[in-house]
Amino acid sequence: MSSFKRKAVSKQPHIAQPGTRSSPSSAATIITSTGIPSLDDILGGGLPLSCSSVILAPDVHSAYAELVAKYYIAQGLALKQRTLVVGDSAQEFVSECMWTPGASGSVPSTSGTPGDEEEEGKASDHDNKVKIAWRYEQMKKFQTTVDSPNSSTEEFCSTFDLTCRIPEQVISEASAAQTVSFIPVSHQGDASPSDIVLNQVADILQKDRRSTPWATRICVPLFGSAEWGDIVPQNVIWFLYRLRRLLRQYPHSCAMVCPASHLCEDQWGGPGWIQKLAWVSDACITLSAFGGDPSLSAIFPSHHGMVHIHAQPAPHTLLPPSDRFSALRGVFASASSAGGVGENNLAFKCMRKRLIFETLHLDVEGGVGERRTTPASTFSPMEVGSSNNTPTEQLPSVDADASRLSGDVATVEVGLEESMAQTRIASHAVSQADEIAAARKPGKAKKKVAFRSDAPDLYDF
Amino acid sequence: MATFPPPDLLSSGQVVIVTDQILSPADFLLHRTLASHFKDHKDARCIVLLVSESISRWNAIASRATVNLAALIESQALRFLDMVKDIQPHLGTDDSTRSTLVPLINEVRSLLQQQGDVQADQPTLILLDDISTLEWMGYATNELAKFLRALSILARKGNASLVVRHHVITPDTPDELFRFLLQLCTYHIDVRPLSSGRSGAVNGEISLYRGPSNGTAHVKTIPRQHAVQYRLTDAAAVYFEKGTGQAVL
Repeated sequence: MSSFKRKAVSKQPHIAQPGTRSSPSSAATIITSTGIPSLDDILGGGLPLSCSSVILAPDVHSAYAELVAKYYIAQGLALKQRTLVVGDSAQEFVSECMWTPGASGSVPSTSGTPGDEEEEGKASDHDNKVKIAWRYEQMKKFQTTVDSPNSSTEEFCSTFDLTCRIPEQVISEASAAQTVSFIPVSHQGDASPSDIVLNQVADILQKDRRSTPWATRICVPLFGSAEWGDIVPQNVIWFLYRLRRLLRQYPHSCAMVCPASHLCEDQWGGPGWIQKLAWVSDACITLSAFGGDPSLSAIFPSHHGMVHIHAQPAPHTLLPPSDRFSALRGVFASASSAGGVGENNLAFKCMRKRLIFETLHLDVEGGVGERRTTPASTFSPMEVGSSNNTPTEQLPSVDADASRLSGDVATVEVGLEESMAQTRIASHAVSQADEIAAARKPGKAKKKVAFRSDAPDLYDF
Repeated sequence: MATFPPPDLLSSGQVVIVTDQILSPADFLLHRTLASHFKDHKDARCIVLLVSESISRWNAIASRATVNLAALIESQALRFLDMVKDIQPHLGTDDSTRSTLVPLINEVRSLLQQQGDVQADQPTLILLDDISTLEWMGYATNELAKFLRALSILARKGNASLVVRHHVITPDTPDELFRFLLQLCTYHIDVRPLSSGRSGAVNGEISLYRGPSNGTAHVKTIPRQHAVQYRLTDAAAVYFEKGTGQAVL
């Protein structure tokens, strides 16, 4: 096999529309920014036109999917692309969007404490002064996320600031110029709301009679909420399927659908529901926030949730561009490399000024404080069968049955404090191992790791 | 380097089911089947029943495999039929007048009859790119079963091969449609992701089983233990035996 690979460059002229560019993997694919640079990276540069994306956020107590939708709408307004927002409270939703700092009429709310970016900047400066081994000096810094775009890429992706709200003037100007349209969810006649909404969207897309079609963004921020009426899983699949067909019919448009939280779980749609959603859309991502799970937020204190990718858009190629070009995911499948690597775990965090997606890494020690060589103090291993009867009499009968059944193995007492102390005292007379366990009371003394060998002569350090 | 699919797999009258999962979609197999069908046989014909993939994607990927779909459509050798109309299939009702699948069967029958006598070098292929999405959007399972049975009978009568793709979303518990498909097929191609998750070097594994309707086994089957692994590139897939991927050798 020769090592020469001629790239088949298609000679299609791409008429640049505002805020779009060609995908790095295929000249036929036109991508546009979602407003969040790290999300663009995960999608392989941006959301391709003619593709639909579904952002799932199963946590009912947070609204991260709506935040992503607001970024999406704000980016469309900033780039003066046509934006269609579906929902009864669409106007209110758009007025809550974020905006770029320093725009006229909007002053970012400053406060005495430095912003997160400045803190990060100071921290990185400090790191630069740390001496590192010479062989690592050439390596680039460990980055968990992609950088914000610099000024040269402002035409593609704007830098939004969560502390700035979109000025009223921008929305009114956009409404007057018909750059933004609000489509309410109505229940007229026999047709379902999804069909009515899709027909209206199709009408708007069809009316565009320009020579180069206008790049259009469609956003459905709260699909399946109360205003949509009674929704069954087949309705959701039908809506997403028809929306995707519509986007393919009018390939200068793209869509983002954020289903309501209760729709985002397998409990609602049955087994395999998330996979069904991933099959009928082009890009499908779940932002599972740590809000409902305190143990996860304790393990990953600097992140607010995990990101699971179910489907990636690939409108003109077999391999999704994200697999080849996403720096965050880290799946490099080029033929010339030494083979691919596994995918990075991804998480997101919402800082004061922005929402970013990052790679997720465990702590240095892997989450365990120290190496354990003896069992934890809550275990009290018993001798085989000998002392099972005495201590378990004091325990409730259910536990006693369980411990008698598992007579051979070490039993874990799930009892009250008194009974635990009694079992320890009872077993103290039995074996030396128990003595050590009893000595290590719930007081949690610091254990020292010591290497004791049976043959000290052999390992004489 | 292993080759897949085996060349005799789609000789006339075979019904092949392709199952895949979300982490290992099998669209590359459909594209490859179409491309090799037209490349290997001079006067080949094909009918593609579209559900999930768009024509522009078929065009884009076929052009990378140097198959000119536009010319084939022009010469009526290739026909794309849209399976889904703009009306949602009504749930639960068994009203045959509202079914949109019966007219489709008639259309396929008329297309196959138009070709007249099928010569040995004029093989016909019918590709159905997605049957499970139809079930999820509201078509009743028994309606789809009747449709598939009619389609397979048409294919056998017209000496055509039929390839149907089905998405498996619950790998442990086969659903009713999948069980019906398995009864019907002569070969079953199963594309699964690696159990260790996504990787750049290996996108998934393919195994090939004989179906119950298969009388005599012409093609060597590939059990799961010796599954052929594949890696996707922009235009096609590269197949290799387990353990002989580029990362290892």
